[in-house]
Amino acid sequence: MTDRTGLGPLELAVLRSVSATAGSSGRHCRTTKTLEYLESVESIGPAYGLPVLQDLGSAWRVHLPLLDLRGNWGSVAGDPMAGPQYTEVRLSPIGELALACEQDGVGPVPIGLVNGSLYRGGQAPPLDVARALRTVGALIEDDLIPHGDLDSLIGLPSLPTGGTVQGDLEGLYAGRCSLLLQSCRITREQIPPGESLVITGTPLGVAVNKIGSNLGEKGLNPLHNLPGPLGLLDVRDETFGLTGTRIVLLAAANADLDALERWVRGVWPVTIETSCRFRGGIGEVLRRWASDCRVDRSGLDKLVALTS
Amino acid sequence: MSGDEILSGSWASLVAGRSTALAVELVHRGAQVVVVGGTARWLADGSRRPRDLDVAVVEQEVPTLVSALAQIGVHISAATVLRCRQVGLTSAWGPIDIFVQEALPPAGVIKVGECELAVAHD
Repeated sequence: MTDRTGLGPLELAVLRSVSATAGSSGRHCRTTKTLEYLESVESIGPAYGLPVLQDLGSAWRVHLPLLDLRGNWGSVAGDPMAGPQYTEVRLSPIGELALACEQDGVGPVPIGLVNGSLYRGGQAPPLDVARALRTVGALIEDDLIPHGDLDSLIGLPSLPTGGTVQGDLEGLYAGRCSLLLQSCRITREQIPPGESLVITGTPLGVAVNKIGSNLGEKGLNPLHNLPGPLGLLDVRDETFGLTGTRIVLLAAANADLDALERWVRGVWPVTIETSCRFRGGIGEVLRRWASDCRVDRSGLDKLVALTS
Repeated sequence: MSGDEILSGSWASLVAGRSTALAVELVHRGAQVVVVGGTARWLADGSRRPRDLDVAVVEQEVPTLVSALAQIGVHISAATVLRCRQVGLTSAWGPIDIFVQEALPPAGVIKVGECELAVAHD
């Protein structure tokens, strides 16, 4: 992981390859061309490179996509992506900034801080973009902000999939390996015959269609030994597009929605457990970024401009 | 730190029992398994909350377990389980790890509702 962007060597190799094949014309490049370059120049085979391309360009994987993808690259629903001969890729403005930071001396850009590493199987959870950048900015101005205040400034981990987080946040921010529970964001809507539950956000790395099928399997199969939830009439996966998560849990008019929501959260993978950690504690991580950005804050300022 | 997520009731209690519920569903469908690992410890002494269900099964009972899994929407062939010996799967009740063994570990019976679960001694 580099100190300048927080990206790993595999991710940087992918960015270099996209830049080399798509060029500076601003046009998309066929994905197969980028994969061939990745294999021949960086010695990273397509089987390794393609999932990284998908990760770095999908808004349902990272808050700050580094690639601009065109064609069917799969979806938050868990749909398969098209073959690389049918898709295209180019650097996003944030990807261009990351590469400029690594190669051309633009100041540090805390992309790794915001995106975390959870999306690639690591332990650092993603953070809210605006809060993270604002906190680094505040630390550049005042390095003496107490650790406790930093926890408040940075807020809760923020999932690009819209799910919510609970758990030992105090331990997490203190630098301990902590078990976090990621769960779906559940709202309530008037849908005849009455009020129903609607899932609009999910844990990171969980396919929406898996959530829908498991809720249906566990809640509507009359053969199960333990009783299902009272008042659940149907489970409808209405997820559409790349980020439009929407699973409707149609409830009877007299259903106890609080009880139904508790049951829903107990179904896997509506709620999942994840081991998370900020090595050295969130205060240490933030101060390191602030220290680097204080020397040259051009990269940070550009990132703020691109995300605001 | 504040926020709806922190102020709302803990979800931990909602996921704590799902591995036991999975064991109950499998036994209810005829699977002859012994609960081992974290769920066994949790059932015995209420210690640390289990993250998944671990079960031990002997070779001749694998087909029955595979059939029980299929009835709750988890599909895998008996041949695969027998070949791999250790298999990790996921279900609506959470993850399950299956260990095919020559002989089942020593176990006692713990009653969960109407269901009698064979639970390994530590």
